[in-house]
Amino acid sequence: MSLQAVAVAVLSFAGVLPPGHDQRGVDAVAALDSLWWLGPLSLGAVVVMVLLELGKSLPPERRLRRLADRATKPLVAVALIVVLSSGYRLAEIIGFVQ
Amino acid sequence: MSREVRKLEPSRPSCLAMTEAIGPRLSIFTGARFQLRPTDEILRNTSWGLLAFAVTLAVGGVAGSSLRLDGYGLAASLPPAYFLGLICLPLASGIQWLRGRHASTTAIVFHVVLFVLIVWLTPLLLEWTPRFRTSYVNFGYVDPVLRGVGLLPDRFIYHNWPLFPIVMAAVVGATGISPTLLMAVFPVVMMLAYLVPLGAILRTIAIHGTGAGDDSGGVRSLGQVAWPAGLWLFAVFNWTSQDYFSPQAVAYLFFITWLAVLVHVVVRRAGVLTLATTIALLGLFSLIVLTHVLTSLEVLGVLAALTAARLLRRPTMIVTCGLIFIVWQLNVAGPFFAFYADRLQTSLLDISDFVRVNLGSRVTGSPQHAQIAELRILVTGILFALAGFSVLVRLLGSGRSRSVMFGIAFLFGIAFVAPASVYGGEMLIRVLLFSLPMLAGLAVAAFGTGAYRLLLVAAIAVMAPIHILTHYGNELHDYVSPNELAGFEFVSSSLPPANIFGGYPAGNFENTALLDARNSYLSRGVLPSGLEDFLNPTLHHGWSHKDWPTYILLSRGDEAAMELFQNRPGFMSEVKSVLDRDPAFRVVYANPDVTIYSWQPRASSSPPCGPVECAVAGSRSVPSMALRR
Repeated sequence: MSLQAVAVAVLSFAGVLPPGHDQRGVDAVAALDSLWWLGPLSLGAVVVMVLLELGKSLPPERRLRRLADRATKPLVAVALIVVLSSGYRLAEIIGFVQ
Repeated sequence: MSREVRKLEPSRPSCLAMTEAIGPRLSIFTGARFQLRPTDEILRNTSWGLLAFAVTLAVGGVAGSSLRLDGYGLAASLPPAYFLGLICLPLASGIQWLRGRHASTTAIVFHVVLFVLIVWLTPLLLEWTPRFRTSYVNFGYVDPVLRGVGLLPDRFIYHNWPLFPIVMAAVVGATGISPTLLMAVFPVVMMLAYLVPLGAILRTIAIHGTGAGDDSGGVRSLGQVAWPAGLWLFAVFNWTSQDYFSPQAVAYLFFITWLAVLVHVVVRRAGVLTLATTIALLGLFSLIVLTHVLTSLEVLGVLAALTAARLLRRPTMIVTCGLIFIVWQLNVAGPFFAFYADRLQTSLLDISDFVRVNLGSRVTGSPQHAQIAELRILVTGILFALAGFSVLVRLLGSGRSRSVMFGIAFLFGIAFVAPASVYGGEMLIRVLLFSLPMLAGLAVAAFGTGAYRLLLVAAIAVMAPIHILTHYGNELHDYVSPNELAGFEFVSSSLPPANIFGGYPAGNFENTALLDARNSYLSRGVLPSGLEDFLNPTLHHGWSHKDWPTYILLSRGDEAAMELFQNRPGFMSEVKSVLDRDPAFRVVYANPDVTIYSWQPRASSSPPCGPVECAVAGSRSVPSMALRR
């Protein structure tokens, strides 16, 4: 699912796009799958995980290091969900799963 | 108190002198004290004399040679003096090592650099054109960027990981360097560049790998002079030619640099990452992801193995790198996976297919080509045997050490990823390439054992001339003649837009956005190309632009490929005689190495395949990924 399709869908339903685009909006929504959120979430997850790695590299006495240590488990859990979901999506594209 | 006596001498003679402190006057062979100076001076001068002799022989040998290629490649072009020179170069290093801890590592590194310069420049001096046909294909990925067409990930595989075409286009644009000059010097430049991070890896493993005591600095032990032996092993056993103008060559440089940082972290810092090493590891991994998918997979394999072995104390690192990898593949490189889906479904994680295409089908073709392939396997086996024996000696002598455990975990990580092959029959070659730095490191681990040291130097000296056979054994095909270059120029300047069948890589080099090309010597599965493929290029090949005119190219390179890889030496002559007589084919260009025909399909020659068959045939249209070496 591309971000463009999501944008078209949102704009169509909001009435921003002219009437000629209505069908495209409907089509875009029809094309939405359960993993449409993966693109934006995965990009955000990369940024957060890189920041987490940098935080965990600081000396133990630094406040950011302690924060990073506390946030590790929930952030890793989210990252793993993104990795697994993306892997599933990639397997769909290749044709390993239908 | 001098720095040399900070450490205690070993209480008994040890076979593991490599990392032990040795007093300033200990013989490396007997442990006895005696005055080394006079002998040392003689050895030093002998080494330099032998070096001068070796370089004179090798350079003189090249200067007096002319290009003469056969089924064994470049070897027939070179005189015996050249090979003797190659043997003497590592022997000059061996004499340096006879000086024990007084050996000059600078001199030995200089020997390796000279070997690389001589061996890597030899084909260029004899051929005067960039070798290795896939180099031209890879420039074909740079060409659309240079011409302002931009990135076309649906058409060009490596535009899905576009760092290489973008950077190379910038280099060409900024410097004005010609594509052929760039491709010609690229391998030797990359090989020399590899030696820098590799030297850091080997030095760390050899000096710091066995205990905290080694890290305290100062004492010049055998370990400190052993590490250049790893450079020798890397140069002599690296027959893979993967330093040609390609994304993977650049990615490999990133990979070794990444590995140097990782070795530093694991061996010297007990697996603890600092801010600087974290930034370096993540930054280099990101560059690898942007450049080459297989290299990034190997990095993930290594990270997983090191994390599982608890040698790297940052489990989140594998998660973060895995996330970066998968996000890129899904959101940016999606076109590749959609395009390549059929092939991936049939080959990914298929062990039997992996063994067949990577090993069995390599030892085929002409008898000479099969012998070269067998020699490569043997040479690779020798390196693994050296590394295995060295590790065994080390483990039996001093138990587990962090550097040896790192090496074993690293190799396991590389091997683990091997079946995830998307590249047809090149995966084992790449596994060897990725393993080489650590194999070299492990093979010098027992350098302190005198007998093993002799064995190692002898192996390097014997393998140095054999390298010409293993590295340049396919030169009959890898060589691109000036006439072929002229044919490429005609194709890119006079034919577009056009479909090009044969003459690989004429249609993949320049002006590639307006050319669609198919390789005529690649087999269709288990079936080799037949005459019918030339008489009707649409028979088994799907073309994206059916409205473009189609040309058939017959070239010296295709003939060499047919001879080497399929043992059909007269096939292209047969094709030429048939096309010359057929009115559907008209010669539009010819020189001694290239003939180009325009093709006017008869009414009955329209594509006989239906949409599904054409789609399957079209899925073979992958210019560089499935090329056989």
